[in-house]
Amino acid sequence: MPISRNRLIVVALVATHALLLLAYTLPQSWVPTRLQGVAQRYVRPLFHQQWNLFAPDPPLCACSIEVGLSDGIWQPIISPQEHYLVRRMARPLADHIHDRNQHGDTVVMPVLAQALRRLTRDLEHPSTVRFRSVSRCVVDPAHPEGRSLEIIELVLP
Amino acid sequence: MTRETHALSIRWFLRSIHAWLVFYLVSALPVWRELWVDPLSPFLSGPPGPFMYITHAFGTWLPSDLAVPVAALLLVLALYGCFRPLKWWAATLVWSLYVSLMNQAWLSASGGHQLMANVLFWAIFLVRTLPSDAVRQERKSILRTTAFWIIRLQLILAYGVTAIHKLSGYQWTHGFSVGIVATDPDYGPAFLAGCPVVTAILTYAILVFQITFPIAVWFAPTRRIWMWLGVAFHLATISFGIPDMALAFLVVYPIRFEERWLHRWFPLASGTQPSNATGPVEYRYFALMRNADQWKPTKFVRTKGRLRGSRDPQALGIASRVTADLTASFYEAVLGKYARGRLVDLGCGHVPLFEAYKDLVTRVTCLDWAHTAHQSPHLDVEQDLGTPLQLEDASCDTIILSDVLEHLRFPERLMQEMHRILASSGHVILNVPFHKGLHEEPFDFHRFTRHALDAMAKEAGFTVVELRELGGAPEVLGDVLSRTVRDLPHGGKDLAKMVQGLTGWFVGTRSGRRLSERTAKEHPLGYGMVLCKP
Repeated sequence: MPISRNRLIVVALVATHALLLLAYTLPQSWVPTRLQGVAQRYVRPLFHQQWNLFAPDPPLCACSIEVGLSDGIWQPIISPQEHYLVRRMARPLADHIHDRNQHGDTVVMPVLAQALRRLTRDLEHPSTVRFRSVSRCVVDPAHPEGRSLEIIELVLP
Repeated sequence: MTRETHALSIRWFLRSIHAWLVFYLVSALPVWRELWVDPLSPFLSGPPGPFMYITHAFGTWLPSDLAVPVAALLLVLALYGCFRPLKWWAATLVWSLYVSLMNQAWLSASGGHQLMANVLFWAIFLVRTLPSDAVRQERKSILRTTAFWIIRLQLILAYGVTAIHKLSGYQWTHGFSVGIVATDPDYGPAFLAGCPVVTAILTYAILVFQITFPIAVWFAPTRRIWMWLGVAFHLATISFGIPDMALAFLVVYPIRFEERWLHRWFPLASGTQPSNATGPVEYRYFALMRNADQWKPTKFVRTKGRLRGSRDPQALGIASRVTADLTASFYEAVLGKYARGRLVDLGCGHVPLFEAYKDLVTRVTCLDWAHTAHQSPHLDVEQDLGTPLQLEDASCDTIILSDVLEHLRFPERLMQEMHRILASSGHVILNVPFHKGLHEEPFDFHRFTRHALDAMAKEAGFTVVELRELGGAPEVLGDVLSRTVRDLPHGGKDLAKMVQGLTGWFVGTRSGRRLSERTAKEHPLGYGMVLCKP
């Protein structure tokens, strides 16, 4: 019967796609290594997706980069009034720099340094500005309003 | 059991995702330099393979200086897609342009952007499909249905996988997550942090919602509740500074809408009430028409994007090609303007026009009588069209009546019946022959002049929207000549084919077209007509 055959084809195609998407997006410990490889090859080129925003836990540290101006004043590299897409781009930069700071590396990777300079190119004397990483981390998740402050001066190559 | 199609939910889904694209592009254009031209995002090398040149066009072969024109082109296409369905090539262009822009600014991309990249890809197969022959028709139907179900599952997968990730964390299972996010200066709102009970309730509520959504949407009683909860949840997350992600989820929701909701919420844009507004609903995409997946082109085929008469002598007599071409042109011109909602094909035969109207309507009901020479697997009601139709009053929005009226002993009765079953503002689209030999005897009773058609329609209570002649003297001569020579014992069929071909060629020339137009009033080959029920 044509209907049954067509339905079977549709079910097979949809099920295979869904299975490979699941293998790609679920926690790695859930998926056999071999299936992970197949899923990578199928999903990565066209159907890449990640569902890890605020998961498995929301970030405990709010990281940002601050800019030191010549008059000694420090200001956020991205103002809270900045466009939400630009603010969103600055966050992973700051997170990445913070992660490296945690491993004792305060020299910013060239590609990130380039991004930081682009963010400050509209300042009055962009070549003289200094940068520092500021992280406000939750100490007790039951009282998240009390955050510890950590400031690390950055070295740009 | 009544069946529901998804033509309307697909239409609204396609509109919604293009509206999201417009929103995203308009909101992103003020920061075009940071996003695309001199992007803050470090270059993201794509996965190896030919697709890299599409998904990562910027950085592989397309200079970033062209990002703004690309975004502008995408905006134009997206705006068009908000109102009219895109062709397959335009949908492909939309997907590829969007993905290349998204990957150029990958640091700003969220799960919502990735969701949109995925649904835009599968939407290519939902929009108007490639012109096809009979063999490819079935494959396309499979692809379209597959794409539809993948998009539906994609939404569920996004919620389900997120929930699984969250269940494996500590903060979500202990009720702390919303409080932590609220006190993060990049998200907020900070005032929530002062109410630990509220943040704990919200944390668990979000978790429960995301865990249960993939199950709840399959059942009618819970579907609507969970979708409203989803709307509330995503609108609330706009205050977390992720409006594009929140809206990206919401614009995919229409793919899960029931047709009757759309009819109720958007009556003007969706047609009138659906015929299956009450009663159980079986969700099958194939159910646009009975045995729709078995449908194959017969009398009309789509060639080079144009509907025309078939050249297969099994499907269409060789002497009828010019007539069929004219009829096909007429229907193609008017269907887009008038066909919508629930369509009834009276005297359906093999439903030769299905290809032309299937993307425009939500349900097709086929009627024909037992004496027809075209036994059809698509028949819903078998009845003599000369008797009262077995359909309820105002139960359809469009009626197709192709080459039928001349076969009825009392055509006025059918006119009155069509007026009865048609909903207010609905349309009848019909054609009849004028110069044509006797056919399907003994059930060939009439030839109508334009005056007879006009009078009959008005007497039944219709307004005549269009009444046009199909073909003129050259087509009539070609038709008569080819039918005359067709039955010659030697080479008659070839000669008839040649006459048809020459007629088609001649009326395609400027002088042939002029002659046809000049003589059409007096010697039409047939008539095409559109009626409206006021």
